[in-house]
Amino acid sequence: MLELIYSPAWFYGKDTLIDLISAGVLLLIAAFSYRYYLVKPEQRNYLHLAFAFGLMAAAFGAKAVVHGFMNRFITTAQEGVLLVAPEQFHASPNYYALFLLYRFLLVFALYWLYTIYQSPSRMNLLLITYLLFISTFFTKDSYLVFHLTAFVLTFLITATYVYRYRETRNPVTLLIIVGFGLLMLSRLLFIFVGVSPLLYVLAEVVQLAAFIGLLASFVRTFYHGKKTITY
Amino acid sequence: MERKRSRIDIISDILGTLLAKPAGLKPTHLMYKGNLSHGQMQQYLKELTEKGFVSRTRKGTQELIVITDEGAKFKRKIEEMKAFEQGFAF
Repeated sequence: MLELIYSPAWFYGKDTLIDLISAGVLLLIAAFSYRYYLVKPEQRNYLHLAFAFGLMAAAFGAKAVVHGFMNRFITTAQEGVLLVAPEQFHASPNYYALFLLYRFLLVFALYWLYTIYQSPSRMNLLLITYLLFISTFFTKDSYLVFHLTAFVLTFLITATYVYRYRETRNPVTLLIIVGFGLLMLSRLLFIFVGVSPLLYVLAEVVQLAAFIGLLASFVRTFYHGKKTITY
Repeated sequence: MERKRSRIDIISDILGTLLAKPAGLKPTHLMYKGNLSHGQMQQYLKELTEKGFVSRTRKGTQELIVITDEGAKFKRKIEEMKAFEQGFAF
């Protein structure tokens, strides 16, 4: 029996590049947020944001490594879908560890980002972390549950930013809404990749657009600093 | 009610005031414009001078506080931080 990877053959490898770009953008935002925290330690949200974006960067980095790793085991391609021999595929514990790490880190990071705005109690934080953990590691339909959970979390994050934007009308917040809105859309598309391999391509492209949106929001903060101060 | 200014807000205000007067500002003027007590101002000026963000010069008998390039760069960083903070709606 062969295992399917929902990607057209011509797209394979390009998704790895998209994941690396995504990780790069997230790492950049995390690094700057941490730098800002060092300047203003009383604003702990910088640290939380750096942590959340750092975890997301690690998640996409892990996914890129997994895709690169899987590349070694691809045996054939049929009707635009790549096929992998599972006995080789499952033989490596590294593959599973990294893949599960990617899933858990991403949903946990999204939840952590959400908690910046919702401030749950410590007990609730532990409970949700536990639920995210078991839904990642012990669910039969883990693929569906993972993308659905990520979709719900990105929806809640986007809704939070929309709510804040209605009060502030800040253009940077608007770009962040676009970024997380597209990330939410990509999660939804990933759920339906079984329908057509092209949906996988679309999901990856939408994900790339999401991170370009987040990068644009970050660049905009630099532009603001430069515009305010000329010397 | 307006919230209490944080340390970085006060530094930002001082640097912003000095940036608007590149030729320099008398310490008393800075104190009034920055809305600071004498003690506070001396404390912040000591810190900013040590970090190289401002320098003290003399024009005749007057002592003037002048912002340095490093100070202007730091003020820009603070503005970036503000935009970042407001964008992410902390």
